[in-house]
Amino acid sequence: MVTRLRRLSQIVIFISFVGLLLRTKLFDFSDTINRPSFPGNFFFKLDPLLALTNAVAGHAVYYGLLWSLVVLIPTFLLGRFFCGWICPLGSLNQFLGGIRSESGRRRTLIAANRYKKWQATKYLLLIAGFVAALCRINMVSWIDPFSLLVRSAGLSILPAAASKKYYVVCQPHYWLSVLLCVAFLALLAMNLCVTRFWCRALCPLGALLGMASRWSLVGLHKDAATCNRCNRCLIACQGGDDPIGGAMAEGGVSPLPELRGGMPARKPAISLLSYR
Amino acid sequence: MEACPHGSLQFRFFRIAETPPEIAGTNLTRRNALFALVTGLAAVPLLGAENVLRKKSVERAIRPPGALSERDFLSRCIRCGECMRVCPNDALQPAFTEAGLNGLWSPVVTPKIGYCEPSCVLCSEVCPTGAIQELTPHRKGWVAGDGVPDTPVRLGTAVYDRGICLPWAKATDCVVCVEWCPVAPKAIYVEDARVVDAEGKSRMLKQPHVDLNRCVGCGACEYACPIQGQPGIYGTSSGETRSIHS
Repeated sequence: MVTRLRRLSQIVIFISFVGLLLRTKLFDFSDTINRPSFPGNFFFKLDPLLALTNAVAGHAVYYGLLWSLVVLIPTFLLGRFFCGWICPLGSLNQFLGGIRSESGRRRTLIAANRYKKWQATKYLLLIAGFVAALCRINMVSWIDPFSLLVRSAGLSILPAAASKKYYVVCQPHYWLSVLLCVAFLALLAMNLCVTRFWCRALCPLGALLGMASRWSLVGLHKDAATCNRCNRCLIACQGGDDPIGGAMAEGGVSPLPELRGGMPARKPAISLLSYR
Repeated sequence: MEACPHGSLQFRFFRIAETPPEIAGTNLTRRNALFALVTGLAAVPLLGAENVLRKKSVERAIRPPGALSERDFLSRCIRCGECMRVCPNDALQPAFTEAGLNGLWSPVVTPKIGYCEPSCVLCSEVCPTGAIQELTPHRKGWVAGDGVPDTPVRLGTAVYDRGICLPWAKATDCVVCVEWCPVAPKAIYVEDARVVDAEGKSRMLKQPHVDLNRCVGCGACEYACPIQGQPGIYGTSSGETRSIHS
């Protein structure tokens, strides 16, 4: 039920995001003065990272970005719901991560979904970016997921996909967009190796929300009494979450033969690491 | 959660109480955090030094109407490219080196590709961070009509390259830039001049000049200039209003 709701939310938000992005060029410009107002920047306003770095680097709180409290405040209670339910780049990553059939990846999925130390990179990016923003260099917002997605998709992918030559909906072309395209496709391709690689390793917004959710009230709980460490949850979780309260046994034996694979039988130690 | 056949997983309130403290952290070591802090600090003077080099090209980095002063603009612009997408003339293009490393992918008006449409303020409307402050067509002040302010928003000033421009350099008639100038009254005026052509014959033609008081820097003249490659007139950011007001 929760999974279905989440997928529905991801699909609806992703489609409306792409719709808004396309509309930036489908607008009727014939009358530039008497046209309806246009919420092209709606999604950016929900972004707490932009609100924070903009206020710190620009020495001013921009009124539109106060909308981001709608995301930030519930994060204190619910954790990083934004990443799984709203973020369009997260949805895209998750979709691409699921392309390679799970049956073929089961063994590697268990290994891939365990917490890795390099997943802390995003916190380092956030700290470095925040310190630079204090000195008015706001580079961390360049890799904000909304900024990255709109820039890459809007300036390189969509123009390439809808060239004037072949489609009615023409998209303009932009200077050196091929660089944006290559970097973006590389990030997306990483999903085939590590599901949601961007979200786990690099996303500074995810890092910020992760810090905000440190004391969140709701979280995934595992009942250690009934769990037989089959590791099914590790296969299912795209975010690579280790459920709190007795996580997967590190290198432990799965009772399911198809999952047992070649993993060494070690003592079923409780992992102290969690994806947060 | 639904993958678990035993129903062992569920969302719960107040799970912190039963969680060992080691799990709740972000797995940041102090050394790594310090490394990130120093990296962030080091980036600042490095990019600052680069700003000095930017002087050689900054004249050509024309910013969209409503943009804050350069320093504020760069600190607020998140390089999302929304302004470039909504621009009806595709005048706004992502900068590569034009505005320095710190200005990578920031929007610059590129008159060769498109000029700034006089009645349009879409880029200022979609900017999510206020790097381009919201304008109205009235405040922009480029369209003739009642109550247009005395001080229009200026992106800069157009400059003639008299070594390239046809009436100036090649004794050839051309008033394309005058025809395209959207400002009313026009910001380009012509002067009758007697010139000597390649055969040594003396003749009269009209040589264009930019009226510095009226030019708003939209770049329509550069866009329209019929000369291939380096144009005979080009937009610069000198005289832009944001350098005065903010």
